[in-house]
Amino acid sequence: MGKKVLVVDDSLYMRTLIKDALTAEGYEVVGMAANGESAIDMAFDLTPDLITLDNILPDMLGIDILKVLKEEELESKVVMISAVGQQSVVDEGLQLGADEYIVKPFTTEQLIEVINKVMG
Amino acid sequence: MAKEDEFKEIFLAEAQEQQDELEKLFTDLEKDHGDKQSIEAIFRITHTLKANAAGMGFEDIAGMAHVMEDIFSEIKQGNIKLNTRVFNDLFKANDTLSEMISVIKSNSNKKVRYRGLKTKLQVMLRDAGAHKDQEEGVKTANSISEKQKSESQEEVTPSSQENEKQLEEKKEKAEDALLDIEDENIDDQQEDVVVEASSQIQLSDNVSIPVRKLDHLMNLVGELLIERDRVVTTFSDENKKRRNEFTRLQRITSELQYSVMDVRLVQVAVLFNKFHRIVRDVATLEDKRVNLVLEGTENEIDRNILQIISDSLIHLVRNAVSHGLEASQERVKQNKKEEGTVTLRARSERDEIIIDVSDDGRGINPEIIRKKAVEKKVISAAEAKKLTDDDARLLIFEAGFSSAEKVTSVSGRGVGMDVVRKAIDSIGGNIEVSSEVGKGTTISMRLPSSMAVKSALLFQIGEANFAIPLSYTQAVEAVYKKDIHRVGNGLVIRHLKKNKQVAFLSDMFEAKHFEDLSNRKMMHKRFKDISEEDKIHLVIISNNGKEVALVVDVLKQQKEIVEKPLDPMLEGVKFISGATILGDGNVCLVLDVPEITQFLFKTSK
Repeated sequence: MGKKVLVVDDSLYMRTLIKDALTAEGYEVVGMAANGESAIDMAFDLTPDLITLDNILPDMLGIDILKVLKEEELESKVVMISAVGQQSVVDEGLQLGADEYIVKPFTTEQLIEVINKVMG
Repeated sequence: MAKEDEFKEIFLAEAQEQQDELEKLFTDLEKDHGDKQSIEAIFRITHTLKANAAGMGFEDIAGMAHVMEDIFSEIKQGNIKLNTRVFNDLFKANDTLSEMISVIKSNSNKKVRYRGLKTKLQVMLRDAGAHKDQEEGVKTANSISEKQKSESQEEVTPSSQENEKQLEEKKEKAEDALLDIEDENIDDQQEDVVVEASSQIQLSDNVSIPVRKLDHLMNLVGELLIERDRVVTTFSDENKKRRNEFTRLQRITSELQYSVMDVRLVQVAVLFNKFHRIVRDVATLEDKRVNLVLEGTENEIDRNILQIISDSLIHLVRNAVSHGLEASQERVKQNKKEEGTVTLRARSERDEIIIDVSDDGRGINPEIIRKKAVEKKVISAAEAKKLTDDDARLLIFEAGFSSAEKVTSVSGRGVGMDVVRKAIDSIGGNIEVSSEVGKGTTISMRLPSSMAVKSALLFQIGEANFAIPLSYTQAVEAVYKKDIHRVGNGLVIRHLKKNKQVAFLSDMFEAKHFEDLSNRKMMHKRFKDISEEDKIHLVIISNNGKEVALVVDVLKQQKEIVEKPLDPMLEGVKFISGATILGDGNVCLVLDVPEITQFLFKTSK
């Protein structure tokens, strides 16, 4: 059984891209969320091993979701996904306990490398 | 399909949605400049589009979306004031995005010109006092964020292999990183605003499947149904037990059929929402104030039908604004609200979807239409007199008829309304017009909600099987010879207080040359051979107010059919729109009712 992953991104394109790359690598994408509310619900329902978290979502910021997850002591690893140059977001995310981050646009190789690193 | 192509397809579909959504949001925002939610949503969508396009390597789109994103970050901070000029540029930018998307979609090499517009938007940014033009930005920012730049570079490309593309990417990213220094500020501020933004994208609704895959699925289901009917008919006669076995098969296949039909349904909202922009453009051009009201947008219809009628709907809505609504001064003079209202409404009635385009404008005067129609030789004066008011109004859909007083760039080129009718005809729909002079007009399009399977009435002429789609059948009557009267060269029957032309289908299909049929006598050669006691079976069909009684030999049952287009070799065949295969394996031809009514009404003149 591959490690369980929850993909959070408001763009179908991004979700598909990430899901495909992870599935090919042997991960099991157990859920995909397009907004913060369902992301939080799914995170607690599915207790994935890993969450990829886009920062800009229709209803809240990825950072806010991260805060909730950490406050509730969810053990999933979190990889933040942000657009180029939002260094302050990345810094804040890492401070709050995100395990890694990746900057859009990225290649699937870059994504896999970051995620493999986190999942050890 | 290769992975790359599939990603591209998803990207394009989503980009198209994003572009649509932007269009709607711009229109909303133009009405209410203080609409924070719209500003927030536009910012988010352009941001996402930028990242996705960059990921796909579509630099043009990424660049355009980037500038739009920057502009909205300035708007958020109040550094750019919204006015008509800004909106014109934003709409143009959105059009450019749309064009770029369709160029990629069609795989053409066409270059979309966008640099001029992009520069214009960049100037807008510079004027806002926050943006520095690229070169300057690099120069000044270099010193500020040297550290940041190298940091982000390293993180972005962890792989040690350095090819040319990566180098180039790095360079761009570094530039972006510098440009996005402002973005950091935005992100800091975003938290307190974002809370009130509502979620607009729903996850589970968004499975995107290329339409061609759905078409293929639908075709297969159609073939399955035909095959099922054939098998059931062949074997169920022999043995009763087996017939029971078949009921399960029948139930499951029917359910499959309806599920596939259901998957193809989309909410009319996807089309209706595009009209905010269309109405805005026409209204601006005509210098009218127009409020567009959308109703029943949750009603669902087959995606292909929506595609087919989209041009017609654009035409009708443009017409409603430019011809239906009076000029502002005229409205005020008549004690009407200066702002006109155009309503796009969808409602469902059994298996049909009805789309209404209503305006509260001047209405259509049937007398003027009658006069125009006679002038333009669309009908004779005598016929014009006989028409009811609503039927007279339907004349606007005749070829060569245009009630426009003067030709404008928006509508009224004299072509169009008949094209609308052709499009509606092609999918078995119907048009109705109701209007009250001084109060307004409603044009209703009655459309099948699904295309592939239709209910039809089966009948025979000689040995041959035929079907008429039920959407066109008004009544079935059995009459005697004495009920049918000769009028001039033709035959007529009185039905529901209206005289209807009678035509023998057998004579029509037997004609050796199509031209022979221009003589109306050719359409009832058999009439004289019928004895007084013989029953004559009539199917009364109606299309856009034109009613005709067709004589058939044997009436059979009503049935769901899957109509297949005729082989291209048979394209020239008259009066037949397609064919289906019956349970007993026999071919059954489907009558082209619009063509038949058109033809009979032409020869009746």
